[in-house]
Formats: sequence, structure tokens, C-alpha cells
Amino acid sequence: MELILFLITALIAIVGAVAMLVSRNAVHSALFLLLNFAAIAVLFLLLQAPFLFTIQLTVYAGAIMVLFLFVVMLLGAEKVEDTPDRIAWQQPLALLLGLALLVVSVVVGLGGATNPPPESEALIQFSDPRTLGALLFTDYLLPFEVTGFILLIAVIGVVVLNQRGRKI
Amino acid sequence: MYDILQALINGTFGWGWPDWLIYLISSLVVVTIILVVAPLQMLFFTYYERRVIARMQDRIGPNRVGPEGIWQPIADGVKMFTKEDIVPEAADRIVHFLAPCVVVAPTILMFAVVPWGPGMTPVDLPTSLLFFFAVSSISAVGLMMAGWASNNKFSLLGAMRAVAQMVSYEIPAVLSLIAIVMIVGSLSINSIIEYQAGLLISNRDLPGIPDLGLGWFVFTPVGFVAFIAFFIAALAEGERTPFDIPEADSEIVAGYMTEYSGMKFGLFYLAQYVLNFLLCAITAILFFGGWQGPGVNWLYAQAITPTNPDGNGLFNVLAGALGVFYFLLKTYIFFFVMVWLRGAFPRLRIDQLMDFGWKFLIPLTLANLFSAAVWVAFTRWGAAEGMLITVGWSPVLRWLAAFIITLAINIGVYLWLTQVYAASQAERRRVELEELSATL
Repeated sequence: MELILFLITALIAIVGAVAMLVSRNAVHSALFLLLNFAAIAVLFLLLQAPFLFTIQLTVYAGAIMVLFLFVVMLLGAEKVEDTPDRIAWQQPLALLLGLALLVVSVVVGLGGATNPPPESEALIQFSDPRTLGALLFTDYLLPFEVTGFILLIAVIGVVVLNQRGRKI
Repeated sequence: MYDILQALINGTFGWGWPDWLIYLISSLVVVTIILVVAPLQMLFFTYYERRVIARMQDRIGPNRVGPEGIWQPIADGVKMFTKEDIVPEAADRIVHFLAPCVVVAPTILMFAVVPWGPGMTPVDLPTSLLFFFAVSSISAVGLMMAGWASNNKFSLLGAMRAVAQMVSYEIPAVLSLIAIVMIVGSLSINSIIEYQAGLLISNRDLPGIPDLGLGWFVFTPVGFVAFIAFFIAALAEGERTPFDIPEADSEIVAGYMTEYSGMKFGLFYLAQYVLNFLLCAITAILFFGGWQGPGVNWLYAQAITPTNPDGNGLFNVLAGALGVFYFLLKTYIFFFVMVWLRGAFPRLRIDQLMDFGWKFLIPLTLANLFSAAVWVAFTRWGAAEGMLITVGWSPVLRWLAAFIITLAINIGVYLWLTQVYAASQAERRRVELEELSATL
């Protein structure tokens, strides 16, 4: 049962990713990326991680994709420009690096497949928001604080840029 | 649902069906109920809103179809179905077609975690509260799709307004929820409801309180501020009047719905009313105890539950009926307040909306978060967490101290913020006037 669900979701994720790359319209690309994100969220749910599922939905599908769409639609930049691509050298490089990533993940996946997956009780414990929160505020406190600081800089930057040429 | 079917089929009738079959049947029943109940609520809400707003505007409202016009929504639905479906020539046909679906689907999915009564949660996720708001944020994408695919400036402008408003007001909404989540210590909607048993005070903070199901969060200073902030944010999320800027008909026709007709327009309408129902429902659940009320817990204690398998099935029905009654009563009262606000207030401007959200509601909810932390520290922490003051205090004393301190913090912050906000708005008006006179 879970295998069938996984296959369907994985297929949707791959179709979304490929369609995102080949689509000629920037808005369509963004929408296919959204489909991909949603499928990844369902994969988290299949891994017994409902917290990560909801975070994936809110942060990526709900916030980041809306931001993408907002910018693309506001600028009217959805059509592909006819001028020659100045970063054309990136395409073969990206393909090469993508292939390398695929090989690495297959190797790691095959290597790790010998370990039995943890029991579902342990999985539920592991993905509990309480456990994740405790880890964030103890073992990973420094990365967490650094991330928070970077985000704060972004917020201050927005405020400063918005204040330029205004009296209040 | 699974427990009841299991008890009914294998227990009462003794048919001995396999577990997966019972599971499948219970899932199908639950899905069918959700898919039927959601549109029915929408139909009722359109009638309810039209009658109430008519009364407030000294009219009668729909009263021709059936007794007191109760079948008016059905007639409207038939009208919607039989209208011509028009797609603009320059529209992106596929995205234009998909947009209403992407708007409606999340609102129906949100029903999956709403508890209707004791033991009547369709899907009991451990992170159901987050699920609710995660899924609701998807419908913003549908609005953008609708606005962009229509290839109409009014639509695009409406979609931009809608999304800017939803994204801004999601922050105070979620921040006010975090205060509640901190007190309960769980992201599950069910445990938030269970926490609100008791009498005026949760019986987990104070043991020995009689369980009348009235320990609602709205009676605590933290919960009250969270409720006010959340309800205002809900008005903005549901695009209700003071915040119906995305479809301000005097400015941008109908916003993102301008180029939709027939049943596609009907789907946007459905999504909006279902979302309003859900926002009222979640307000009732988080701050007013959901199905909690006098008698429900007493009835449910004698029903068939996983912890009490040899209860009486009749009490399941009774507790469920009473719980659904309390829940719907609270939800309809909140929708009445929404209609009332529509009858009473004019529409805000978009800059007023943004100012109010970012400069008033978010600081207020952040201060409320601090109050919630104080509440948890006083009512629950001991020497192990470093709260040495409260060691040896009785639960009543702890509770009183928490109540008074959080009340003082919240009132102080509220008074200070109103002053700061009023001063900044006055300053803004002054500068705008200066700029205007400079250009003239």
C-alpha cells in the first residue's frame, strides 16, 4: 500500500521537476515547481514526519512559491526573452553536477539500504516537533542562531531600503 | 469512526470482518461526510449572511423560495450551474481552468482535521493545527493563478492585493496561535480542546476544578488578546469587510474573480464561504473550547472509546450530538459577528491594512507570546526549570500570580501600542498632506 503511494507521489515529483525545467513560461515553471514541492511534502508524510510535511507546505509551497509568483507576475517577466542566453555555459555544467548528485545519492542509498529502517514507534518519536525543537535549542543552537541573525539582517535591509527618500 | 465501526461490526454483529475493510469503510464514510458537509455549510452561510445583512440594512432579504426563503441557495446553485462558462480569448486556458480547483481543494482538505465533537475528528494528526494553516496558505497560489491567467489588469491587481493581505495577516494569526500552543504544549487540535475542560479555569492548571467544559482560553488574559488578534487576522484572511480590499467592487470590479463566470465563479464563492466557516470554527475551537460545554465530557465518559471499550453506544450519539451542537452554535455566532462587522464598518485602504497588521497586530501578538511564556513559567515550572519563586506555592496562588502578571503585561502593552500607533498614523497623515500641498 505504502509502496503504491510512494510510486505515485515520486512520479508526480519527477514529472513536476522535469516540466519545470522544460517549460517555456516562467509562471508555468513556478507552478510545476509548486507541484514538485507538494509531492515532496507528501513523501515526508509517508516517512511518518507530519511536522516536516506541514513545514514543507507552509515554507516552500505557501511562502516561497507565492513570493516567486508575485515577483514574476509583477514584473511581467513570464515570457522567455529572444536574446541569446548569456549564461549558456551553465547548462552542461548543471547537467554534469546533477548527474554526479544522482550517482552519489544512488550509491549512498544502496549503501544505506542494508540498514533496516527504524521501527515506526521510533520514527514517530524522531519526527515529533517536541524532539526537533529540543534539538534545535540544544545541539544545533549555534546554526539556529546564525540563521536567525541572517534573517534579521534581511528584515533590516528591507526596512532600510524602504525608508530611502521618505520622511517617516 | 474506526473504533465505532469496529465495535459495531465485529462486536455487536459479530461478523468478524478484517481490519483493513473496516478501515476502508470508515475512511470512505468520513470522506463522504466531509464532501457533503462542506458545500452544505456554504449554502447555509450564503442564506444566513443575506438574511442577517438584510435585517441590519432594514430590508427583508430572500424570502420567496420555500418557507422564509430557505431554498434560495439551492436556486442560486442551479442558476450557477446553468450559466455559460466564458474563458477570455487572451487567457491562459489551462491555468485559468485550474485556478478555482487550487482555491477550493485546500479549503476542503482543511476539514480533515476539524473536530466536530468528542471523538469525531476525521484525521487525528499530531500536528493538525500546523496542517490547518499550512494547507490554507496553498489557496493563495490559486488566487495568484486566477489573477494572472485571466490576463486582465483588474484580476491581477485583485490577486496581488489578496496575496499581500493573506501573507501579511498570516503572521499575527500564527503568532497568536503560538501563545496557545505554548500553554497547551501540543500542536494537535484535539489536545487543545481537551485542555479547555474545567470551569473558567483549565482543570489542568488547577486540579480539582469541576469539569463543566468551560475552561476556555478566552477567559485568560493571554487567550483573550490572542483571540482578538486572531479574529482580526481571520477577517483579513477570509476577505471579510473591513478587509475586503481584494474584491473591492467599487475599485477593481471583482478582483481576481472578474473574468470567471458560471460554476467557476461559483467555486470561488464556495471556497470563500467554506474558508469563512473554517476560520470561525477554528476561532471557536482554539479560544472557546470547540465542542466543550456543560455535559459533553460527562456523556462522553460513558461512551465507547479506545480507553473504555465496553461503554454504551447510545452515549456516543448523545455526546456527539451535544458536542456538534455547541461547536456549530459557537461557529455560527462568530459568523454572525463577521456579518455584523460587514454591516457596521467601511472598507480600509490597503496602506491602512498593512500598517495595522505590521505596526499594531504583530507587536501586540509578540508581547502576548511573552505573556504566554510568563503564564507557563508560573503555572507549570518548578525548581527544575529554575523558577525558584513559585516553589511551595499552592496551585491557586500560582494561577492567580500568572493571571495578574499577564493581565498587567497585556494591558500595559496594549495602551502603549495604541499611543505609538496613533502617533505614527497622525505623523503619516501630516507628511502626506505636506507632500500633497508641495505638489499642488
